[in-house]
Order: sequence, then structure tokens, then C-alpha cells
Amino acid sequence: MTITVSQLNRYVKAVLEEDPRLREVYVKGEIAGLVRHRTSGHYYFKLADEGGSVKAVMFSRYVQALEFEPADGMAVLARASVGVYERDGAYQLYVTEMMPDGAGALAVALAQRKERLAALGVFDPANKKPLPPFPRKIGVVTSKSGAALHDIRTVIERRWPLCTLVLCSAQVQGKDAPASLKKALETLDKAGCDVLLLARGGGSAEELWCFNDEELVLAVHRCRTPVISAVGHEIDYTLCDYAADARAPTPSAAAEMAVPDRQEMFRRVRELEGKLQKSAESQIALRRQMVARLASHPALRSPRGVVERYKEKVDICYKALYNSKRILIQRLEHQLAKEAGLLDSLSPLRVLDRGYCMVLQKDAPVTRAKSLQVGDEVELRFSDGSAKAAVTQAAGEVSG
Amino acid sequence: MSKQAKNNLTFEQAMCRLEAIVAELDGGSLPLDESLALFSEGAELVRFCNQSLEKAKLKLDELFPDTARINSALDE
Repeated sequence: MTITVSQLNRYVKAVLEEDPRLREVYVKGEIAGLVRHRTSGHYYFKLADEGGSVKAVMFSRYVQALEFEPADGMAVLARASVGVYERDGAYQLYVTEMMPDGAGALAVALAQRKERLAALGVFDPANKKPLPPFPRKIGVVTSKSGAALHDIRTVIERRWPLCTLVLCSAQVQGKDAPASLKKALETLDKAGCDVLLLARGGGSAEELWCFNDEELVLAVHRCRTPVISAVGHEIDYTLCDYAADARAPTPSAAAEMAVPDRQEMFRRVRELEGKLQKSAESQIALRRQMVARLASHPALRSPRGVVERYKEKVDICYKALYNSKRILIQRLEHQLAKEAGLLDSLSPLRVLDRGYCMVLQKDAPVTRAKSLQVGDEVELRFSDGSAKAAVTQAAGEVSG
Repeated sequence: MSKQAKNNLTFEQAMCRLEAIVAELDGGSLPLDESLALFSEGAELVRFCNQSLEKAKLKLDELFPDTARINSALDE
């Protein structure tokens, strides 16, 4: 029987594809010779172990779903079907899913995913929303039957019962957990909550693994409501913890973080009440002081004092006036004395001092001898007094 | 403060207002009658806050992702 190469290849391909055991195989091996086709995005590589290797291809639509960045030397577990590439007559694996094999590889995958999400700004501190100081509606995403819900409820009941706790339960482990958690988170984000708690009690790394799911982490990042992530115990960190606005070591701690403390708030109210009281009192005391100060003002304390002061002023004015009057009088007196002295030197009385005598008849000076007759009484005025005299001889009788 | 306004007041709003009143009174530059009005408003707020803290009881609801209906049955 003679057949062509193409016929042979087609036949072998058909034989292989008919075998149901080769339609889905899980193959363990190390990646070697990895090439990513520049335009199509398909991966071409070999899976190898100590004994041999097999060609493999992973088409770009499956590559997109990869949760890690494959590299040469990486141990992986690939889910594939076995087929033949007719052109080369080579059988190869058509890989649909691939995951790092072993714990170390898992850590590598996680680190790579974290790096990728970080590049998108998912963990950026600048994108973190502040937690509300007094939340009134708190959304909780967790398992309805888990200890986390009980712990959260207990803490909030004790610390801050002034709110409503809204549960949206979700599966917190297993294959469907990421989608379930994401859905619950999105539901609560639309329900007008002030803060969301994404919580799960402790568990193994595998059990907590769903909180590293890329879609869930992105959903946490996209939430408009602040999210507190509390998954596992203190030592457990998941990517949701990094993407959330705050991370709490445990669900109880998340609840503490979400609400204020009632006792502390009582103290704060008391403190404000005290301040209120004190400032009201000090306001009144201040006014009282003002009144007291005004009351002690001299004008109010002794109105007479004011009168006295004005009286003093009047006195001063009076004295000034009096003094100027006196000075004026003195000046006039002085002038008068001067005038009088002058007048005195011209006075006829001064002539009497020199031995002359003035004759008066009935107080009128006698200036003519002829006006006197015998027997007339006259007054003789000297400088130091007067004397009475009688005329004994009339005028003309004197022999001259 | 009217009864209506008081009913709609949240604890947070009451605390904010109370803090503001205390700060304003501390300033001490208000006329006496205004100070006294603020003082009585503040005393009212203190009463409101204390009552809120004393009487509060945690409410529990449940939401379901599929139907988004609210169920208060969780509240026992």
C-alpha cells in the first residue's frame, strides 16, 4: 500500500483524535523554548522532563485566561488535547489551561499577578478611599454560616449599634467563590452602604486562595464604597487585602476599624458638654466683670466727685479772675499815687507849710481885703489846723 | 431646633454641629443673647447624642445578589 505523506499525516491525526483518552490530558513538565507569536499572541513551546519533550501550542484565546506569565524552566501542569500538525507530521499538545506546578510556582504566579495589578494602579495608596467616621449602613460580604459574621456582629453590637448591618452572603472557598464574592460585593456596593467588609475566617492558603482571584481583586478596586478586607488571620495576606481601602488582620478587627466606639463617643459628648458649660459660664463671668468694671468707674461710683471736679475748675477760674482784677487795681492805685504826688506838689496847702495863712469866710476864701468889715468872723487856716479871728479894722484904714 | 429637624438629624450631624457650637462659643466674640441661644442648642444636641448612644439597637438586614430583595428575618 502506497500513500502520500499528507494522507499518512491525516490518518495518524484521525487515529489520535479518535482516542478519547487523548482528548483531555493533564501533562506535567517544564516549559522550554517558549515563543510568543508577535501578531497572533499564540504560545509555542515544549513541555519537557528528564526523559523527553513534546511540542505544545496554546492559542491566544486561552493565553488571555492565564493567571501567570509562563517562562522557560517553569514547572507547569497543562490541560491539553493531543493532535497532529499535518504540515510537519508532528504530534503536539493543544493546551487550553495551564497552571504553575508546586507551591513555589504558585507563589511566582501570585507575585506576577500582583505586579500586573499593581501596574493597573489597583494597589495605589492614592486610590484608597477614607473610611467614614460614623457609618450608618455597613455591608458584609462573607459566608452566612461562618464565624466571621458572628464576630463582626458581636463587635459592632458592642461598639456601635447605631447602624444597620447588611449581609450579602457568598461562598468563601472553592472554585465558585471568586464569582460569588464578586457578585455579593457588587450588590452591596449598589445598596447605599457607607462601608463594606469583605471577610473570611482563618483557613489554609488553598482555602484563602480565592481572595487572590484577579476578577475579585479588580471588583474590590472598582467598588465606590470603601472596602475593608479581613481574610484569614494576622499572617495571611491576599491580593484583596492590598486592593481594599483598608486591611484588617481578622474579621473582628475589621469591625472595630469600621465603627467608632460608643463608650469613647459618650466621653466625647461629655467632654463637649463640659466645654459648652464652661464657655457659657465664662461668657457670663466675662460680662459680669465688664459690668463690675463699669460700675467701679468714678463717674458711677461718686457722681459728686464729678461735680467737685467741675467746682474746682470754677474755683481756679474765679481765682484767676480775682487775681487779674487785683493786679489791675494795683496798677491803677500806683498810677493814682503818682498823679496825686504831682498834684500835691502843686497844692496851695503846701504853701501854708511855708508860713502863709489862708483866710476863709463862711468856708470861702477871702481874696480881697475890701470884702471884710469890722466885726466879721473869719477862719485862719494854717497847715496844721485853723483858728478863728475877728476883723478889728476894715480895709483902707491901714496906712500904707 | 424644630422637632422635624431633630428627627432627621444623624448622630454625625449632631456631633458636627455640637463641635461647631463649642468652637464658636470658645471664640467668645458673640453677643450674650446669641451665646445663650447657642448654649441651649448645644445642650439639646448633647441630650440627642446621649439618647442616640443609649437607645441604639443594631439592625440586621440581608441582601441577595440575585434578586436584591431585603429580608429582615435575620433580626431575631
